[in-house]
Amino acid sequence: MLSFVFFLLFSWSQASDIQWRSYLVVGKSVNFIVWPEKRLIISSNCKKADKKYESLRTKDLHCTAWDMIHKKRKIPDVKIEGGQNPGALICEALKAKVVMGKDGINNLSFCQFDDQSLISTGSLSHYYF
Amino acid sequence: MNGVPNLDQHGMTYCHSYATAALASALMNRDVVQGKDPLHSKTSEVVVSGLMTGAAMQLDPAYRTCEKPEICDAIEFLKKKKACTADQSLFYKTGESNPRWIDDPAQSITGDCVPWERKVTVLSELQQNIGDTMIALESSSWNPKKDAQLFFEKNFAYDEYPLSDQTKDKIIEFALNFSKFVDQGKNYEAYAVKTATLAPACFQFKSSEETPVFKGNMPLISGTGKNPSCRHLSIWNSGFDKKTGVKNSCFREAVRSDLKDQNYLLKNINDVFDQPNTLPVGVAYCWTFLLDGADTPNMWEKTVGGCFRKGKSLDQDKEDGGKEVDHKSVLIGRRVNPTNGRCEFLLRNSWGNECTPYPGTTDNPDEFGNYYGSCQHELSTNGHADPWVDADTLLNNIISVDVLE
Repeated sequence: MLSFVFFLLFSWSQASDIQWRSYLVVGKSVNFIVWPEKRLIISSNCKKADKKYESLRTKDLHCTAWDMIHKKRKIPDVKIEGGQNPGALICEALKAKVVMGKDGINNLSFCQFDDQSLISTGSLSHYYF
Repeated sequence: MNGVPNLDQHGMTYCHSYATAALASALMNRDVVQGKDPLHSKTSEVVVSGLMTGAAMQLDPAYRTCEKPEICDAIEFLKKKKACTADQSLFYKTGESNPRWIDDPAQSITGDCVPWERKVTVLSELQQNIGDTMIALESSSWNPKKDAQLFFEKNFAYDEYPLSDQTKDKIIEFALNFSKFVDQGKNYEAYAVKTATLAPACFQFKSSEETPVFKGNMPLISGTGKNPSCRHLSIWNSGFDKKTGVKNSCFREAVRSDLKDQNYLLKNINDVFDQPNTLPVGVAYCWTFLLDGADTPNMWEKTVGGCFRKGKSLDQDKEDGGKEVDHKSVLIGRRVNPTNGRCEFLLRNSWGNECTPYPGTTDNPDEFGNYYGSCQHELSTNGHADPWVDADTLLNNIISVDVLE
């Protein structure tokens, strides 16, 4: 219930299924685009400033995190052990940094790139695994 | 599972500890709801025991026997979750009317509480034994140093530490910070993982008639109380006894029974969900179906040591670069799928509170194998990203079941 209230407070739906949502990342509130159709949770700083969420298209995304998805890199096979989150290992293979996010009581890890753009490790799993 | 968070183990190899932490958290929360003592100390034993499963394979036998009592003392303190105020600078020995100092660290684990000053002292002693502690770290998982660093980063580092290397001081501070987490009773994950980091140094825990008992392969509780023949180690890895001389026949027989019969595993799961106020069920399984989809032909043979490709042995598969896809999670619910009438279990994974990695669509959440859709439905209605998994698919991939009684 608490998570649901948190959700209502900190996110809002658009005409499409695209939402924005805040996560605490390394202690700071960061806005993300949550795009279920594209299996994408990506930081809002990837969106061109003049673009609105409700009319957002993938061509409006410009950041390293997005580049890693739509210009998929060739990465070495990731060796997974002990139930590691595959997306976290893909992040490391992309030479980026895994950072933790909080969603109410829940955790969610993100992959952070040099331009400070972030993408959820689950999104990386979807596109790379 | 109210109040039990979805966690993300990211690059750490502690799937067993995350699964166990979920079980332990559920137990604690249930007790709170029922107005009982949340059994922190007992739960910590559960958590510790679960963590040990991953450490067992590489564990130095010397660290099973509490040969470093000051380390054990610190761990026991952390486990007890009790601290005296500064003016109570005494150990209170259980059962004694007058408090007194207990100078022998080996005895201090029998105290009811440990003063903060003593804790610092204890940790200083721990620091003196940091070499041993580092060995413990190295023994705690498949990639122990990396795991430790990741855990630093995840929980403390950004606020308090530069992260480039692990110094001795950091480990001590880490322990202190961890104790704060435990005192706050908030961060079960920190509780679990930190215990994992230190616990291999202290593998021997006291018996307790009241200690919750695990059935299955996750627990390594010593002194379960109910069965005298199980008072020593239970080891996940069947080869462990040969390496260490430790024997625990009752545990391994249970595992062998599990592996023989999927219906036996299913019965163990169903027995739990048939009960009121049920707790989750821990499962060890080969996880690839979660990303490849339920329709993907099952490619895995299973043993207590993990998953390996059909037609090969576990060792052959590893030599050929096979993936280590064994995983542990918890099942937190059961239902009959309203669309297809199949039995399904709600899976609480440890890959974060998101559904994006799972296959499927948002169109029909109840469609067979639609992990993404069912997960998204759970996320939107309950706030937790948990997919519903078909029972037959799960049983095709399951290795063993862990039940907390």
